[in-house]
Amino acid sequence: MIARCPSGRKYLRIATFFIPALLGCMLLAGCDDAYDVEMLYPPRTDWLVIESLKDVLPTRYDPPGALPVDMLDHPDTTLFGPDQGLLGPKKGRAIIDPRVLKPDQRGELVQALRDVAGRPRLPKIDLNGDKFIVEDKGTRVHIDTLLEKELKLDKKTLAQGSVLYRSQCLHCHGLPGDGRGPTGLWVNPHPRDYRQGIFKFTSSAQTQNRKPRRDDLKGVLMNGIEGTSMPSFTLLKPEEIDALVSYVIHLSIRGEAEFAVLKDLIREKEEGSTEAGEPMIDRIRSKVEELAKLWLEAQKGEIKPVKPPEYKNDQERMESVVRGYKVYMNKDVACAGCHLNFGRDAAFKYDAWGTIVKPRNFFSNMYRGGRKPIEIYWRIAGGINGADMAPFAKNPASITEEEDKQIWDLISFLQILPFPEKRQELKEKHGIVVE
Amino acid sequence: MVKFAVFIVLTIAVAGFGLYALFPAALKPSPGEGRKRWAYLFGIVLTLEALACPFAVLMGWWLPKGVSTYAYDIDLLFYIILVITGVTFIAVGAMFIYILFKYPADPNRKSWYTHGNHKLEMTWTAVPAVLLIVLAFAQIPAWLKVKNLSWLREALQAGEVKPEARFLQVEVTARQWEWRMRYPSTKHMEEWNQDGKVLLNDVRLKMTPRPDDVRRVNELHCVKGQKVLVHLKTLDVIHSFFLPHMRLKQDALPGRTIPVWFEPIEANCFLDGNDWKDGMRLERTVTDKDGKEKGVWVKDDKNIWELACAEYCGARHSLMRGKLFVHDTPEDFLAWLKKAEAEGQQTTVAPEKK
Repeated sequence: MIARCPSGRKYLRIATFFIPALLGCMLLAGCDDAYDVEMLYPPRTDWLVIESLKDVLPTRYDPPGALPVDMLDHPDTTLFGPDQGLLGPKKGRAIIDPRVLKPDQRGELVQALRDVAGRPRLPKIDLNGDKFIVEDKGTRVHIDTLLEKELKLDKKTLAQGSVLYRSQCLHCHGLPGDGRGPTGLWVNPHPRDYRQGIFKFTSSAQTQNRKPRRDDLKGVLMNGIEGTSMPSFTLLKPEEIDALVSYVIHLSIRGEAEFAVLKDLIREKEEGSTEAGEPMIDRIRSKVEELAKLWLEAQKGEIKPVKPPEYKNDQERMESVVRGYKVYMNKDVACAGCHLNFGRDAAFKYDAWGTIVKPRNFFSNMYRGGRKPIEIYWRIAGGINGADMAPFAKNPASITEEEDKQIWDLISFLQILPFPEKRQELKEKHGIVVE
Repeated sequence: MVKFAVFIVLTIAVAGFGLYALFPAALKPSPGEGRKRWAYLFGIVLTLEALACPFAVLMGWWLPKGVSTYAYDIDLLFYIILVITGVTFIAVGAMFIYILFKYPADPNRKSWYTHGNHKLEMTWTAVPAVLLIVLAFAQIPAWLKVKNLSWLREALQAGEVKPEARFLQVEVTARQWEWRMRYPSTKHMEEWNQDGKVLLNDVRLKMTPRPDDVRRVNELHCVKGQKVLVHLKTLDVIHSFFLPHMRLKQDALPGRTIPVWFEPIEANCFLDGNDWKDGMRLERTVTDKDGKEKGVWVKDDKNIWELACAEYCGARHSLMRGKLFVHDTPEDFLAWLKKAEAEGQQTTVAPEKK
């Protein structure tokens, strides 16, 4: 066939020569790690969860392949099983749709965000303007300088972080940090969506709108999160971890500003206000300034225990455990209200992101936020953001001695729960049955 | 370096394909010369393949340093098999090219067939069969040494471990995509050192978790000259625990705890200020003024020892890596363990940044 058809032979000859040559050129050129310069962060199109979904009670985890809020758009209504339609009545009030805005308004938002937060290739947090001067230790400095100094949000670090994020994090956490990367939908718990500006494991001594300290984010990157799909990145260099932390903070500030402005715009539209309102760029700038101040405040210090516990022997430790049990069972503290039967019968809940979570089962010996006593202390004293875990301390910034003792006792109690022989000891010596 | 190698290989490939495309005669079933081009092509390719082996040795792309007690046995097996398959490869290749040269297509020659030659078929069945049987028996001692854990069986039967034969136990849990290690606490280690029965009991119980366990991610620590018993687990899919420098590879299967062991014969890390630094080699020991022996460590990239996953386990499989730290003396290891333990039991906020 080929021999009789000269043109066919010619194509074959060209192909056999050029295809390997082309492949060779591609391999030699290699791939560029950074994003395309022209590329912008995509505008947000998924549902915004703006209120707590506490009163919706799911009965199981969501099926893989889509997040619960994304299921509101899903054509197949049988996927969610018996829980299908639970979130339906929340549409419009607790869960709102950013797609109702006019395209030109959304275009304006994208432009404004680009001017302040840059693009994937050249990320930045840039609040040019004379308004943004703040006090710092008696001197007046521009907030951009402070962000560079305290949060390492300078352009160089962010650009390095962007490249690393693309290769290490993007496939789960998504391009704008939306937790909707290709793998993200298939793992449970779902990867964190940074655009809500909420991070679960924070140690900062703020009372509300708590932001994590850089060290908290670093800790998550170094140790991974046990019991979830977040692995440890210990093999990256320290400066690479730093760059990733900076980039995550950048994504979070950008995403949260977008979130807040979208929320306002939708409200205004619903109220039917015809005024033009502030220009988009000013809205974004003032929002970013507000967030930057929160992030800066969070870096000032962590929750400090009053006095670390000292147990001279096992008996003292056991006494602390018994006291901890009493605190746990205290009706005012209400641990058992959510962690029913020490977490074994805990009910499913919706968290601030609209994903399904379950209060920790204390028998599982799994500590997502870290198993060091100090890390457990931070979670009890300051609560877990977004997951409806209330802070134990009235004011995390200054913990009273009484609270401090109670928290350490609680920690002693929680630390022995996973171990059968310790539970046995508790039963035999102190008559406390936790089985 | 890698790019250069890729470049060389691709140049050869492109040149080969180019030649082949430019001499269409090679495609045409014409008598004589045309067919010989196939012989040239295969001759070049096979010669390059045969040369790749010594070239790899020259470039250092060879087995990494073997530093466990059974590394020699594994390497010996590797070389025996390499020689047997290498000789076979060269012989078959040479014969193949010779026949291509000798008998190109010739319309004037009448073909004859060897099919049905009993003696020939007997020979080429019997020779590989014998070779394979020899290999199958030759590998048994090495396999037993690595996988049978006879030393542990003996100890368990005797119910006692001699003080000098005390070993270290670590639980390694693989998951997508990291290695989580669980070490005994210093107190637990003390119990082992005092009483071999406690140690053996923990082997039977596969090191039941205790509240004071020391946990680390992606860092496997052990001591030179001391056996390490690893209780290997996986939380999700099949992973493979691979220590190339120890010549150890074992799949981790969901739902099973698999015991594996190795004994390093060289140390690769020392305490540099506050941190243990790996990738170091102990060059010599010197005695200082106080009569204390002190090691002189030099940097050696061959002493960066990796723990890799050797079974494809998902998107980040290639990044599922850990590091192996082999301490020089048990005291060094204990010092490290103590520090790790203190970190794990941290009850105060970290001191201000340096």
